[in-house]
Amino acid sequence: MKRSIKYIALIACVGLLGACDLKEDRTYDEPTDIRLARALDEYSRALTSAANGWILLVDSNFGVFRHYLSFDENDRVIMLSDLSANYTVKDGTDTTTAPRQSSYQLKALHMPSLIFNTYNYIHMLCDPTYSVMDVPTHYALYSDFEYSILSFDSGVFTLRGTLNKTTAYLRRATKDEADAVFAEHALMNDYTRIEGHTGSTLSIGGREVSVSFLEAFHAAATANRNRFVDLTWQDEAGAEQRVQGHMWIELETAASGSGVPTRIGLIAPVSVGDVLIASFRWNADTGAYDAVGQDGTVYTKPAGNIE
Amino acid sequence: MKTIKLFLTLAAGLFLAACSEDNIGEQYEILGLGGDTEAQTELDRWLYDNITSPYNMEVKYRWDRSEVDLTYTLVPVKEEVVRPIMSAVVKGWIKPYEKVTEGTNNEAFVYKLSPKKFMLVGSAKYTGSTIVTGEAEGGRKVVIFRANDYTKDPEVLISMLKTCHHEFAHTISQAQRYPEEFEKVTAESYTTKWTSVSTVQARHNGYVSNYACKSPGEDFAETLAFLCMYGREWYEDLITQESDWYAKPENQKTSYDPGAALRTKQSLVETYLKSTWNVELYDSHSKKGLITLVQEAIEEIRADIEDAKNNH
Repeated sequence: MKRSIKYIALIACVGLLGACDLKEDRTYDEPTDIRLARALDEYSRALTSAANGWILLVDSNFGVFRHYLSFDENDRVIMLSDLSANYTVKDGTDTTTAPRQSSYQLKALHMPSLIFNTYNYIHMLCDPTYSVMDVPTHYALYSDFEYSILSFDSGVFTLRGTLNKTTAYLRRATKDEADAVFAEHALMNDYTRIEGHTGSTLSIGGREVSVSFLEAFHAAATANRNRFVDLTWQDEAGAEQRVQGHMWIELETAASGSGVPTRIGLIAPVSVGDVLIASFRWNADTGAYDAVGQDGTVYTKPAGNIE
Repeated sequence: MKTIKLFLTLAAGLFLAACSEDNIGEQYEILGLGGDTEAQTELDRWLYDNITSPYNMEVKYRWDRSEVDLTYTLVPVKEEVVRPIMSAVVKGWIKPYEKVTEGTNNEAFVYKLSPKKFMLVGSAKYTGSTIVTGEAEGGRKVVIFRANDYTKDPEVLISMLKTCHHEFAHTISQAQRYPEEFEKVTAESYTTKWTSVSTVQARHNGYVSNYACKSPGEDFAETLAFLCMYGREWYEDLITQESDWYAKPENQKTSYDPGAALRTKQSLVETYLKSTWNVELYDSHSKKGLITLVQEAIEEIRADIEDAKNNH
């Protein structure tokens, strides 16, 4: 009996050792550094080769801000921003019309990262210095200027902030958009155009939903308005329900211009009951913005409410 | 026994068979090893020609979170403030040491012992209860916060220069220790809880600042930095003020007169600088001392800031 156990143990040991396979089984064909270097090279070529620049949407605790960017091969970036369109910049800079140059860096950190590494308009959202903007917090607007690149698909970079984990999207601008930003000051004018169309009532999934864009930021500084869209309705029990989305305005160009921005996007969809709302679209017939569901369904202002 | 032998023979055979000469695999460069490479700008060239090459100091102004605290809300520096700030650092800190040792046998010591890296950050570091404007790591690196504000408030530059003088005092005292007597002057009142000591109370205890109460090393660095930044007259006034305060019996809580303690510290710093580094703290017949040179530089820097403001 004792001898059998020894033999079994011996065979088991030999079997275990024989099971060792010296072949490497990699998840990826190439080492991480080679893949990272290739990705950074691809991103760099994409950023610097866009003839009409880029539109960057960055989220913050106060809504979404749009920046127009143009990158060059010497690590320089020129920036315009819609920051001063409805926020008070204390030194009086008009960020929508005065281009500012600084540097940027594509770097391999935990992930390929895009870092705006000297001061530009994007940093004003993150600047804890009270004298920069009229924001009562040392965390500024809880935004980011260092981003991990989560993906680059169909000409759109999806980014995630390093410090505050905010979402940002960077997409190629069209020639019309670049012209509109520089010649027609679209970053500023879009906010002017939306004034007067900041609220309506829509029928969404059988509910009467009150929609309000750009809620007042705080009473003392009415020029500062959060880039929020608020949706409120009453549930079956009569209780008020409210959701809030972080909004941005699609750039108006000479071709698309209709006097009112045609589309208002949300950085992330919001739920009205079981309906997911992804954006808003100007409806000239009703004179109000329709809500557009994640599935493409359009929710319009009820006919009786058309003013 | 036989089984064990058989087992060992088999095992040895397997181990030997396992030996083989494997290729370690494809060779490739580790991305980012050796630091960042940036396209050089005119500012980079100016920094190299005026700071890095002559003084052996790196100036880092492009954002690198690994150089600062990872959790605070901070922003990078504006490129246009880098040059005036570093010019002020040279003018208000390096040049006075250069001039005061000119013609002595210790002429270039400031180059050898200066911190090797300056990091500039645009905003201050808000910790909740305090605003941090400068930090230093072991005499090697100095981080200057609030750089973007330098034209709005001259005190930003003054505080930055004080940080430079403070850190340099540490470096020189680590290379050649300050006199042991310095530690005994106010030995009874050093405290690790210096943050709960007010500046006024610290001065009543014979220190130039509350941070000086932390340890004799910090006390030495603060004493030299305050002497340089605020001048002899300010220090003499402080001595008089504290001696007058101590003259009242109800204020005699320490075993020593704080004014006299400040005087002793001043004298020990002066002797140490002269005997160890050939640095004259005060003016002599033929030459300006370190304090005068720093004070003159500060005046120039204030004028430069005014010019920058007007040009802006």
